[in-house]
Amino acid sequence: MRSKSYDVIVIGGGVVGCAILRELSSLNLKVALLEKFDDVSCGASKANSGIIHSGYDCKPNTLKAKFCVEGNKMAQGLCHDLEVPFKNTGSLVVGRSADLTEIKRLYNQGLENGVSGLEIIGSAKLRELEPNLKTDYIHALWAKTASIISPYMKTIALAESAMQNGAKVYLNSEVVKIDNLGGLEKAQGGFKFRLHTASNQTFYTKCIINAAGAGASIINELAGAEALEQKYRKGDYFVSDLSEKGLVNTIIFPTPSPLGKGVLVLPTVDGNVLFGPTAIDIDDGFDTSVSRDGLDLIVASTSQMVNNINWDNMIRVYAGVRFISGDDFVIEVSDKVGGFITVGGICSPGLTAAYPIAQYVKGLYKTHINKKATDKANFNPIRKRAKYFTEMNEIELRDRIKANPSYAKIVCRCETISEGEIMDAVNSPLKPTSTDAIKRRVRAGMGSCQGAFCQAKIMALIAKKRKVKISKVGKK
Amino acid sequence: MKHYDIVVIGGGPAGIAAALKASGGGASVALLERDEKLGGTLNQCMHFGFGEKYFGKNMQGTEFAKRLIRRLKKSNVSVYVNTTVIKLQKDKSVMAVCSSVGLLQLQAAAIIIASGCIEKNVQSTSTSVAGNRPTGVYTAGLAQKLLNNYDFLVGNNIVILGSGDIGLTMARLLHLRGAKIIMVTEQYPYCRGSIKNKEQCLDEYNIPLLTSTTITRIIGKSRVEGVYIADVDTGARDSKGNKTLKPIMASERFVECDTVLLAVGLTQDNQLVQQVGLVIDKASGGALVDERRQGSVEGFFICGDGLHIHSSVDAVCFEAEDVGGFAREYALGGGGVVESSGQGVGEAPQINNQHISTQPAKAQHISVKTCSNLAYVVPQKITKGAKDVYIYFRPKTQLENVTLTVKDAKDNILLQKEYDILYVGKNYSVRLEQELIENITLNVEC
Repeated sequence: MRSKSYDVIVIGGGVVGCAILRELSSLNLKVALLEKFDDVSCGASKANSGIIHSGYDCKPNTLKAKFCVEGNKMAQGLCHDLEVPFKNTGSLVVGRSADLTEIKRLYNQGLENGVSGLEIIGSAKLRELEPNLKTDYIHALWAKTASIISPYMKTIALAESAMQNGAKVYLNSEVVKIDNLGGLEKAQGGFKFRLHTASNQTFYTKCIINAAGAGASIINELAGAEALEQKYRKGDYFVSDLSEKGLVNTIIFPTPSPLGKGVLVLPTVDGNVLFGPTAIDIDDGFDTSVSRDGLDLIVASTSQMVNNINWDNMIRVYAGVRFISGDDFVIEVSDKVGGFITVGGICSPGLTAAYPIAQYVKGLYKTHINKKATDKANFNPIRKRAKYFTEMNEIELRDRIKANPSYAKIVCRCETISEGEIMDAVNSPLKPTSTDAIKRRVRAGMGSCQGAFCQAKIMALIAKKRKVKISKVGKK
Repeated sequence: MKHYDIVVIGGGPAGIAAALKASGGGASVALLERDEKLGGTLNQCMHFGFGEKYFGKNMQGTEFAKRLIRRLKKSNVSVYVNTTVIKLQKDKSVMAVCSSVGLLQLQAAAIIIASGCIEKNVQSTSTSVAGNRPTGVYTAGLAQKLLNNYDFLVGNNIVILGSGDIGLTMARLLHLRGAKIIMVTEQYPYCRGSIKNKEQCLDEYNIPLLTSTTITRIIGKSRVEGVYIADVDTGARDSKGNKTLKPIMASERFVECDTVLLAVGLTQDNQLVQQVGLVIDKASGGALVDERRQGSVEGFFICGDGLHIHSSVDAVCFEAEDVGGFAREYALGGGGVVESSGQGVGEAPQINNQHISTQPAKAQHISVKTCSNLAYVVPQKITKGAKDVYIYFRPKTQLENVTLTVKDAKDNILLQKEYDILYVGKNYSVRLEQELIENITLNVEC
């Protein structure tokens, strides 16, 4: 019964939850993470713009500003340690003549937030950076430190790194009930909480860290902690085919208006072009359905900003939800319930800020909850993954195929992904079971045919490994 | 590095037919197939309707493949399966990965790209389907493969988007295997597949076809729970005069189902064509070619659905055979001998990079233009003076009682042909026997 007992349980396997888990795995503690879905990175962490923001955009003296600027500084090193795709592209806030005032304001705000590498540029430099930008855009705030990453690969890598350092991750484990054992914890071996999941598992823990994203308000309620008010805002996106690569070189923001940041055009680390997000207020934080109006809005607004967009080369649409709680992140140790930390309201720049948030949460834990926690002597920050086919040179390829001929069997033809790599993903630490989960790890099915060609084979490979019928292998 | 006169990339019907033809007359030919089995998409086609013209008998797709493969085994073609080309260069060197050999490096005098087509999905802006993407959304070809090759019926209550021949065939197949086909929706005001197919696949089983209707949203979190469909404004046009086919959102209504099949057409797999840097014709979506199906770089030939989407595998094979002959002629520099007598061209010739092309290096070309009623033509250019040229075309929309006129720049009528109907889901061909010297235009008038 007590086998599933932990010093800390993190609820929610998004980028923030996984970052916290990894930070805690550097302490001499027994830690675990519970995730509702069949993989980590299934919520906001997989469906966003994939930007490491520079930090000019955040209101000064907020957690957002502090963690965004810190997160930007550590992003490249972290991605290097975790072998996560990262590219420093820089970003532009582009404006017409009337927008210069706002651009200057953002520049000054950036300086106040401690952002380096900011520059206001004019038309000539702008054309040089972005030849496809419409000619009526003549001013821009150039933030050289802005970068792009693969958000789901980062999340998966953080989880795998934590697991490598002893942490446990339980998938398909939605928390539906929390018993507060307050006052009785002595009789319970010091465990303050008993958690029940929808899959009928029971866990005991001394501390809960709520990083449940769209579900964070519910978790606070289940635990009897302070109410967490979250609003939900959905953003739709278009993703282009790789043939559009080079349409833009940087992350292009329109000058923000009172209505919001506007719709961006940016490259992905894989070479696609992303158009989005919209900003639509919704009630259900788990509603990731794409809205038709949203798609129309993306086409209309980005077509005004960038020339030569080929709308026939879009291969996918998706929507993500961000969680908004007032003007700032909500990261607090509960006064009402001992041993409970809320990490809520994580909207943009949550992806950038995730790691500093995790470090801050670790600090809160050590200060307020467990002063005796000590650092692990043998914490290993390096997480390795198998090299992709497309990253290997001829000699590496030859050796790899010699060792295992399945690396020569190309399954996903759009992205050139071999059977060997797919099996690497199937066998990876989180034991993914769906075709989407394989796609997030090795890009199989992410190309222009979106799996029409390879999905049957991938389903068959998963089914064989898991010893289930192919009909049991779902998309998600 | 192994040398071949001709390397054929792709072991579907186009690649096999081209390789067979190319290997005649002593040319050395290698055929590379990425799958473990030859035959391409035919391997998932258990239905009949193949081979009437090419083999003189109506047969299943799988049988058609078997017959082609049997011929290939008897030929001198070197076949590599489980072999994927990872680098194709202008100098006609080929690098491939092969599970039995590892890295395979080949040098050819001519390359035939027969890489086939991929299924379109529906993300282009005007037709993109909003909503969710849960389990239960499949392209038609994927559903066919899962059923015929993996014995997995994708769902019980199915809505099919798209009434092309693939959508119609899948409706029948899934119905016969026990699924309920709730409806087939088609954004155009008519069935895109042939009338015969509609009768045999839908009417026979009382499967409803809703024309001028599209799916606007897919609903469901982990599994499809239903779709919203809506009427399409078939009259609306954009500023360029093209139909926008926008759904009328006020007419949106919910249809319960557990599976959605996307049957919205095929598009060329241009990966290798792009890698070499061959010019792509925006209208056809495939490589821009001359009458020999030679791309913008000399010695690169393209055939099959990788060039343009054919209406039948028979048509694919006939065209591929021609291409095989042209490639051989080019590789051997034999001076225009396409039909080989089996001797005289020389046996197992060594690669000669100094080969003489059958045309002067700067061959002059005439262009082939179309009227606005046609979506594309193949070839888009013709070597000046060529004759006996087959031209393929596809109408933009369904056209009834039309006359096709092929004219040259001096308004001379080269050919005139009447059609009761031109289906949008089909392509058509005409043969121009005369010597072609002037630019030509294809006109279709109602």
